[in-house]
Amino acid sequence: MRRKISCLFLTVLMMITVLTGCQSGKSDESTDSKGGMSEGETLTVMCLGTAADAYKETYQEIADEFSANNEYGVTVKFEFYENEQYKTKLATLMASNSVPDVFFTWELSYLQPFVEGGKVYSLQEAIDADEGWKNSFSDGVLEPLTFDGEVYAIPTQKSFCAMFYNKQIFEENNLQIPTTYEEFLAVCETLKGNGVPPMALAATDAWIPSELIQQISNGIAGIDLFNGIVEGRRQWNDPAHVEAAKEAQVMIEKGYFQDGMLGMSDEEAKSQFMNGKTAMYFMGTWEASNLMADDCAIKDVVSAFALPAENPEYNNISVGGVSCFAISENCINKEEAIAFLKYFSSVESQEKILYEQGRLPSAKIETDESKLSPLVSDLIKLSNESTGLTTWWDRAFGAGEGVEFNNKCLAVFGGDDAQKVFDELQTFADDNANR
Amino acid sequence: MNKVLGDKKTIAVFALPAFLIYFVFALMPIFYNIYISLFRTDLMSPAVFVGLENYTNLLKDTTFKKALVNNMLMVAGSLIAHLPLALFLGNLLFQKVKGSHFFQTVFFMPSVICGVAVGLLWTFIYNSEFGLLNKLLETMGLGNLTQAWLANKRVVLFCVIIVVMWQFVGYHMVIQLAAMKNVPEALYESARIDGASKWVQFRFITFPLIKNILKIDAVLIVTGSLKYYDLIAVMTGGGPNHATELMSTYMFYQGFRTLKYGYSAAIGIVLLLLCIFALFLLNKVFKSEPYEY
Amino acid sequence: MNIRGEMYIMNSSLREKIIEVLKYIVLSAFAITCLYPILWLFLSSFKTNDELYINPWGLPERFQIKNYISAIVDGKILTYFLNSVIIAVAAVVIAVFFSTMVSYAIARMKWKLSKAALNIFMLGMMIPVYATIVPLFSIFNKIGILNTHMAVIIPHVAFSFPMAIFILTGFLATIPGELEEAAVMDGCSMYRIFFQIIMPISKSSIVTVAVVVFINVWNDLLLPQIFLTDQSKMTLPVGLAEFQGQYSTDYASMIAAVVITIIPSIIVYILLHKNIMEGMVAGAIKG
Repeated sequence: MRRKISCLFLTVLMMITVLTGCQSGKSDESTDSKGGMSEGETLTVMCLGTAADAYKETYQEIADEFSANNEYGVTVKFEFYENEQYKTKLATLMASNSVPDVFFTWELSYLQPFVEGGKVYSLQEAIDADEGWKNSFSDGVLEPLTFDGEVYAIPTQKSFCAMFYNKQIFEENNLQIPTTYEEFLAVCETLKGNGVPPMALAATDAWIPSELIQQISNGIAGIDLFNGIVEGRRQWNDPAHVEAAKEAQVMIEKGYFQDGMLGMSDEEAKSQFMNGKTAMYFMGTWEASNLMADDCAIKDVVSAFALPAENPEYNNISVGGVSCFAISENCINKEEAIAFLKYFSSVESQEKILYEQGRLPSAKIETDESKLSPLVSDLIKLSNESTGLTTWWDRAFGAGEGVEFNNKCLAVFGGDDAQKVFDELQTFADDNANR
Repeated sequence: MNKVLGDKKTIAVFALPAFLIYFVFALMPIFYNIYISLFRTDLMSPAVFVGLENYTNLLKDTTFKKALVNNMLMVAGSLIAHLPLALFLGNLLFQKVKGSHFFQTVFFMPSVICGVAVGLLWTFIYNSEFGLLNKLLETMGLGNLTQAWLANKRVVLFCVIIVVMWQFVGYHMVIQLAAMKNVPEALYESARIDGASKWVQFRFITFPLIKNILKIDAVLIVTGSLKYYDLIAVMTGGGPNHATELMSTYMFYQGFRTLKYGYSAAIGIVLLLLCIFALFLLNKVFKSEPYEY
Repeated sequence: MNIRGEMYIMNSSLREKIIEVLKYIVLSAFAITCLYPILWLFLSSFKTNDELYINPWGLPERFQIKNYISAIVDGKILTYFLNSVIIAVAAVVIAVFFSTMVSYAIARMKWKLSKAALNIFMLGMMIPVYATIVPLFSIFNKIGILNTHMAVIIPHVAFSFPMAIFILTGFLATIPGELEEAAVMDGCSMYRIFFQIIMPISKSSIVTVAVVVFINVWNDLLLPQIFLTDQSKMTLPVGLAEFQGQYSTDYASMIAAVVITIIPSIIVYILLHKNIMEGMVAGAIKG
């Protein structure tokens, strides 16, 4: 009996060791240093992407093309993760020194701690060595990715916020695209009067009300507000923020958003717009791929305009930024990774992403109007007209003030006093500076 | 016999493995956590020693204070549901109700379902469009009370607390019921002969004799609701705007989002201290001498 | 007896009957709140998303398994299921083995530190696991077992000791000492006594410990979420939480995923609930 038990125990122990050994073996393989360039190496690219995101296929296609044609014989594999999972996973990987070769990142203070921790490979050398590549980036777009004079990530996709609108509804209500802020409010009033909910917005994800308030505040105080806060010259409870928040509250009061906004998820709000129930939808340009998809009811009548600024001198300063890829410091195949980044940011790949998915490239490329859907060409026009880009606060400041800004905007939408809420944000920022 | 039972080598073989695993992976991390909490670190760059600064910052942190208050409310809610209510239900079943075993089994079941699943289940129940709660209110004619429960910062915490109460009532009831079963029948017999009512029987026989178990149970309840993470993370993530922020979710956020692992460690230590404090407090409240009967 | 007396007796028995009925109403009401949500979950998993909105209460029109397929194929639920099984079984086996040994040592063997050891273990019931996450993360990082199943199994084993020892010492204390005396007189070694006599008797408590540990490990979200980064190694709760982010409005598929996640717990519970309830309680009472 004793022998039976000990046998059983030993077998189980062995099984466990073998099983877990297999698992650790597998993970060892991906970080195993085989040294040098050998056939059959895999480059992993960690990226954002949920089940609903159609661009995943296009990205993998580009990766497959690169894998088939590159001189190193290396295969590129994308791994997609949903937003929150991605952030947790990247944080834990960074702390444990096992970051994947290439990873998606946001700019400024999302990337900064990783750079300061020495986990990201500087791309300055590669950029300096390749004039063509260096010049493919428009002015200033590498700024938010530069730390201590060195570039650490490459922007690939640009996105900004625009007011999508339903051309058909506008026609039916005899409306033109508003060119001033007052006209915009008048448009909303007319729609409301005719029983059409003017805007669809989801107030369950804090970043959505926040991007609207940020956009309005851009229109009040211009790009200096953004730069000022980043540089520490201006405060979070700047009167412009409070005024913008109050504007949003007025819009809510006047009923310019759909019923049930406070409890509605983004998917639900979006589907209201996509089914022609609301006239407008304020969102990032990445939404274009969903709006031009076959199953979107309004795909032929949707277009976009820039929300006019309250102070006309600040028109066309949109909330927006770039999404980027960076290479980790412990990537073994750095040359191959750089080659892939160059391929991914090349004109051909960017055109592919633009035409197939409607995602705007961060570089200025010549676009063939005939290949673009009308929505995307409208967006490109807007992109070319924009005079400034202020990235979302939770990218500029990351977890901490950025996320708190989102929370405060959510509170504003819930009816809290705007001044009080932003004063709290300022206090938070002051406290956070010491942590 | 004592030689066999007292043989040092055998004792070591039997006790050491478990103790080693426990010491290295449960106790030592606590000490290490105390150590980390004295630094400012993101686990990538070299750590900076800051002494007790993380703790003083916690005292000033409004979000942490909110999380603390939320935790206290959750503890209160749990205590209400899992002591008096569980006792009441247990007592009902104790009175030889038919199907007692069935009821026990059913009540206990929610506690074996994982927090994530319970959280998602109740997210569906609270859903504003197809949720059971809103539909129920509508059928009862209280349609004007329907709302997006988890988006309303005034009620969301209570919605979450109700879920926690629901999940573990059966668990604690079963423990208390078993304790009640241990009370000798003879005591109740003589009480009944003396004409004592059911309430008197409970107050003077059942309650004092199960006090010891109630104490242990209370410790489990308090420490459990201080530690709870899974459910809230899935249902609200601490939102909206920190309305359901708990120390556990805040600790996760300060570690794995803001990368302030030292600060996060300090929150963990505060949590541990609160649990220890609860243990001492409950010991005092449930002070009971052994009863002679 | 006079009319008054008879009426009094009738009234009091009527009153008792009413109280009985009330009791059943209260108990049944609570039983419904426990059972109905799970039943609803089960029924809804066979509905389409539209049906959910139109007909949330009733039976689905057709029992379609589309949601399960999407949960399994897109949601990779089976991989997560397998990982959960591996981790839970390994944790249970290791935890049971070592905790029975140390419980026996504490409960039956004679040594000075036995009481102290027991108290140290009991202290562990209060330690919130995630107060140890960051240090454990650091440690596992240094010894390189991050992103392996072991990184999840080991902490679970360590943290299961308090409850397990609580239950087992409670039970072991009730075994009459004569059993060991007789065995010793027969010339048994300690190992023989433990493996051939004590363990078979303690089967019931051991099963209880196994079930309790299994359920705790199976249901845990935080440890796998932090220590495992490969999607192929994630467990069910993590997969389920991720499902929520991925398919934020495909509620029907989410519901199917939830059902798949909770079915093992419920099955284990239905089969072994007696063990769970009796054993845990025994520990609490005798402890």
